[in-house]
Amino acid sequence: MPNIKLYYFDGDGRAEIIRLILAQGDIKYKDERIQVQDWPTLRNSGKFPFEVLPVLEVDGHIICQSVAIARYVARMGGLAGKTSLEQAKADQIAEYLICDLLNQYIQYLLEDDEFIKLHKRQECFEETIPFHLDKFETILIQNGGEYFTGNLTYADIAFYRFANIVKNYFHFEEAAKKYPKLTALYQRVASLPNIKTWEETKPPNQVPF
Amino acid sequence: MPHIRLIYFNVELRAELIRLILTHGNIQFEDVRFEKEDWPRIKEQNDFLFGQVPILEVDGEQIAQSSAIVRYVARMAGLAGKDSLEQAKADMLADAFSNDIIEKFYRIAFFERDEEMKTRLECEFRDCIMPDFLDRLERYYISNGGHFLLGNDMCYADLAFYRMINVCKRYLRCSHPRLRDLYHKVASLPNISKWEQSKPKTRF
Repeated sequence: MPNIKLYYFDGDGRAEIIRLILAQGDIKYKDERIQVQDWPTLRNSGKFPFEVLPVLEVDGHIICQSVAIARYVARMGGLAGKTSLEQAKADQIAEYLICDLLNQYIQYLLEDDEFIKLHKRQECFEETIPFHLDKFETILIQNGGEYFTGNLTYADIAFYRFANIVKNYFHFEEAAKKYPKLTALYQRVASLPNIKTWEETKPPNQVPF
Repeated sequence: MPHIRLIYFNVELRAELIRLILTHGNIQFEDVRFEKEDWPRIKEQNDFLFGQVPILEVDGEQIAQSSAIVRYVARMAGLAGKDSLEQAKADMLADAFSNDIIEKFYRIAFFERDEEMKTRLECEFRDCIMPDFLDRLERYYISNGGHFLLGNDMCYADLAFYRMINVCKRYLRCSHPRLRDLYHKVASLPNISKWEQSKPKTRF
């Protein structure tokens, strides 16, 4: 097993999906949490070629971009998908959850202008996310109802993570009625022993999402 | 070899990298293109997975999300990376080109309506974002031996780089001689140069 270090700020943010996959995949790693005041020095140290976080260091090799890292650790943990086609099916869903939808949410979160923020909130929670939840629910049903590709992959964990980020914006009972399969998937991932253990033992979150 | 159909508008935008990989990999595919005004009809007639294109149909099964499609065809073409770590490095570069640079460019070129804001963003992109990014990329490229982005063997990240430069050409100001060599190396690959000569000519 390679020597693995995950660098990120001291919180969930864009690294949490990676930590969840590492947990489920039973992969040992060093969870390096960087304090905000130490980041400028570290960033200028030349250790991180693209000066962004999260970064995964694997036997000295540096990987950045959270989706690329998520896929790499998913492959390591047997959670990427068994065939090339299954990998693509997992990738397409994970991309929406880790990248597109999350970025839209972050844009709403960081918006300073009150009116624009309200508009972004509406777009995010009344249009974009519900549209995608409908699609995810359909895909689940089309693939046997339990996991997005039929087997547990990092896409299912990505859904669990995304749901944790946005769940306070949704009324749970209503959502459970509208998306019964997704709700069951959420509970299924939450009850995985490694995921449960991680949630019970992880450091408290100190970043905005 | 599965039967492959790529379905997208008759533009480059989010399908061109997929086309480049399929072409370089000598993979037969149906390059299905439609005009903007036909989109409502096409959308209704086909049950696209997320109501969007591009879509890759593989023996009738749909894959959505251009980056998921890119990686799938890269694996098929043997351009994904020779082991898991190299795949991650290729993905990291391709994601950076796409999310950090190309999407920013599209936002400025197509979505920004306010003229003053557009000019400011263009200057920032041309004078800060692109040069900084290319500085770092050139250092990374040199540290890997300076042949292809990840070493001696080509991977899809080299095609993604070529695509990024084509998109952002008009904002390239600084010279990065090693990256320029890489660009020309990819541009001169027989399948790529043949594709550039024979592909449908579109505005973007």
